[in-house]
Amino acid sequence: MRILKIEINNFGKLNNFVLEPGSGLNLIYGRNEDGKSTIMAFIRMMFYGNVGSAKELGANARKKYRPWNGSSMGGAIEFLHGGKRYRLQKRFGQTAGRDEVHLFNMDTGEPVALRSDEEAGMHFFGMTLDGFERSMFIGRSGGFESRDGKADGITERLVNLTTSNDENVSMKQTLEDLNKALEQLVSKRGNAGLLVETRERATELDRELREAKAEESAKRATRDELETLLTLQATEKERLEKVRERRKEADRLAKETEEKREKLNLAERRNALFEAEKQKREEVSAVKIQQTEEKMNQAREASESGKELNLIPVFAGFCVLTACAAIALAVVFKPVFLLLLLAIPVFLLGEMSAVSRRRRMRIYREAALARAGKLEEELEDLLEAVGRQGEEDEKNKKRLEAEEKDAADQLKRTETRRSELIKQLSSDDGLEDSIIEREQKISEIRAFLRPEGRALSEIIDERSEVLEQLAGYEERYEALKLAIEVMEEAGEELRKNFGPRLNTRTAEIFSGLTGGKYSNVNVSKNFGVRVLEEGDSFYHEGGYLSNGTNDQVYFALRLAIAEILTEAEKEMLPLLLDDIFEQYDDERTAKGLRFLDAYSSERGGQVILFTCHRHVLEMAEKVTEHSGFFDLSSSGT
Amino acid sequence: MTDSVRILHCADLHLGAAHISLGARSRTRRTEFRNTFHRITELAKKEEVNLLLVAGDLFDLPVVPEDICVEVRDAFAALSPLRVALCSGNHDPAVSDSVYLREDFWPDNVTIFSSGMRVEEFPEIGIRLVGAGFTGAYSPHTQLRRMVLPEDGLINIGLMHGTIVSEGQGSDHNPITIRQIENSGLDYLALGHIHTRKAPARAGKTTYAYSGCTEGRKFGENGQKGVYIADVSHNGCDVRFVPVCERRLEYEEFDITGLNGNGEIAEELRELLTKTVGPDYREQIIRVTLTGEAESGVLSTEAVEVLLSDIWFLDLIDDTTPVIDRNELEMGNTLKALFIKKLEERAGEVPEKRIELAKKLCLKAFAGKLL
Repeated sequence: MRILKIEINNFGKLNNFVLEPGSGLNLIYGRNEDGKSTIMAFIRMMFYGNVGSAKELGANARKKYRPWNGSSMGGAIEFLHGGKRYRLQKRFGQTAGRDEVHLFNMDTGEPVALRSDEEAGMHFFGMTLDGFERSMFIGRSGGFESRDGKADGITERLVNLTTSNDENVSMKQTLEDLNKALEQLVSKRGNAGLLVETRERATELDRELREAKAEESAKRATRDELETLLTLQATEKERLEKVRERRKEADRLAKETEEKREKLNLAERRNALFEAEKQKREEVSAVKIQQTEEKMNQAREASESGKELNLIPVFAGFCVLTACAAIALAVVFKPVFLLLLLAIPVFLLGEMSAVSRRRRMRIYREAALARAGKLEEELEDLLEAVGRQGEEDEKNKKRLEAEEKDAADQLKRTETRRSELIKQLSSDDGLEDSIIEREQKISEIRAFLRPEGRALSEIIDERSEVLEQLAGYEERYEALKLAIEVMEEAGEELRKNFGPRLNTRTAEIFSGLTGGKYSNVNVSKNFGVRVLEEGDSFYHEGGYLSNGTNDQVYFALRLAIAEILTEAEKEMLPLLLDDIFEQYDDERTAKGLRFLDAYSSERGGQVILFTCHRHVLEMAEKVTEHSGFFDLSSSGT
Repeated sequence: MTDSVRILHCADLHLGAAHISLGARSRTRRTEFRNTFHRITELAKKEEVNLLLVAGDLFDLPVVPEDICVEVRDAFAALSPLRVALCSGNHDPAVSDSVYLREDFWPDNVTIFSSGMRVEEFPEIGIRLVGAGFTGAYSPHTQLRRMVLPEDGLINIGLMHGTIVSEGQGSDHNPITIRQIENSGLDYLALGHIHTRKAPARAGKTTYAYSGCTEGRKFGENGQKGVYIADVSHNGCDVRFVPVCERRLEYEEFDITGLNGNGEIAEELRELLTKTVGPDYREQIIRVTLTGEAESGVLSTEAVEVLLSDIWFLDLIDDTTPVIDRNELEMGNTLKALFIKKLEERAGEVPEKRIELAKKLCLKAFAGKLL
């Protein structure tokens, strides 16, 4: 990139100022008040005034360089970049947001659009203001620290470049990110972070699981005991069912026994009653029979009684006899004996009465006989009745006896069953109690077995999830560590590639500047510089050197760095040097000027050197061949 | 004498699980799990089964909220006189405050096996049930003890929560060997504990199977979930699978190399899901791991998830690698190129996975996208 024209309409004290630097070394001389710094500030503002990036510059510069006459602040810069010519025009408003910017390709007339937050400098040089100042602007001070000690653009870019060979890839940032990611997993002190916490949780869960398992196994024996008890309890409960049935049966039997006893009593009573009745009846019957018998006998007797000899024949005979006798006698003897015939009527009367008596007796006897007969019949009937009754009684008796026996038997059986049952039950006595006791024990065991913590399945589930997570984190951790390790290795290797380059180039430039006085330069990681004087055998720190030489060293370093940085751009950037020879003696100054002259023409890069020392200008006129000169004091404002 | 009986075999319903990993959807998911339970009881009624078996882990914890217990009990009671048999599992063991041990809680048609193996006969449905349950989270001894079942008209059905192991192998969760099953004399053994459904198999004259869980809870329990309906007889079993799950868990890997922008990624992913998960992919719970090379700064899993927000639950995992400029690598003089070269040189001493991850993380860091 080459600045073709600087047009300052109004900026600070400069008004309608135009400067057209050449392609090689350009010297701009101006006294302190002539506008050197104004031009430099203008260049800065043009390329980096857009967004208040360097607040210091933005706000203060606007104030500082705002024209007193109130007219608008602004100007233009024309430059060559990538083979194209551009014109950047700006009118500065009160704030960067109010700036009017016009940027267009001078060859085609096409405007070039910048993004709203993009600075022209960023767009063309690819670096921030800091980077710009560090690489294009080289001021007086030596050293290489950034103004405020923080990482600045150039450092960053240089580091990027020397470490990644790609300015946009910042090894530092990448490493930072990787380390931050690592710290997310394990904090710096190692007491926090996802990995650490997850590991802790896993350990906790391990412990919880171990305890739960230990509890389980400790309780295993108890658990087995519980199983046994449960099985036993189940059987015992079944048994209890049966026992209860039996008890019910026993009760029922008791009732039955009572009933049976009742029945027996009833039967007995009936039997007794019957007996009594029978007895009575028999008695009555007996009496009746006896009576009847008696009566019959009496009747019989009576029928036999008065039985007289049927004397009628006898009587008749007697009569006959008597008659005969009487007759006989009468005949024989005296008829008195016919008086005997009187006896016949007597006898006949007597006989007639006897006959009527006999007839009466016979009727009586017949009656009696009839009575006897009837009585006999009656007696027979009675006897028959008695007999029948007796049979019936017998039957009834048998029946009743049988019933009684039956009742007795039943009772006996019932009683026997009952007593058997009771005997059986006696051995089951206390079954309920034992069951209740066992239930109690079971409850106790269950309460004892109740897990003290969470359910095992819950612990196991959570643990496996956590372990999975942990494995993921551990993989990530190891991968990050590996990445960091390899990254640092690669970075180191790259840096090693650049280190020597920087060393070499710095040494070359330094040598050129000092006319070969110092042969070697060593640039450390932090861009500290040590020099090896010709003939010397050890390196001197920068502080050992005189200020002038120190300046030269750092100038050489800056130049080398600028070269490397701009190399990446593939476009040489102009070098704006601000009175870098201030502390040089004449010899050094001459050497330096010659160097710059050669440098710019060899490398085809534009160099603009500002100085407020006339002798520099004069010396340059003397020793350089390709330079352009500008005297601000004479250009008028 | 019954020729065959019909049973519904399910397991591992895990009612009461919190589903925290689903975030805002967890509440709905909890309800869905309960719905699935009701779907099962309805199915039992519709299929006119004689017996509904739950082979353990009906509940996710030993003690779950009372309203869930009551809901379950009432649903079972409503099935009466259909017989329901449960056994306690390792997630819902019959510890002291378990709902399984509550007296006067369960209706008469529910049989619960909450300790060592025991036998119960139900002649009215022609079934003899042999079951066992967990009394704690572990059961290192087998619960399928030796037994001799009478050969009669009753169909012998087993109900257990356990792990099938090979001879000599142990397990913390009721180890059962094939030989034990063979010697059991059962006609059907209903198993629970393994969440992946296993096809029914035979050991001797016993058919045994894991019906698998009824609704997926975490990735790994992917695909269709349901129950087995089995017609069991002395001569064999006819088992068929009936899906009951409300939603499926699905997992896919998707390579986004070459796709430009989140919009295109979302579109292509949608197509893939329609093909692999099915036209009902919007209703499912899906996890997709994105692989391949992504332009740095372009891929945003959040943006893609928003474009696919009509999917009930979508979890996108970014496993992509930032694009590597092959030319840059070829030139080899940048930090990036040197880094990758040196990293790959470590291949011998460091596991491949770690190298890949280191590469990925570092490339992200180079692009400023690591944190």
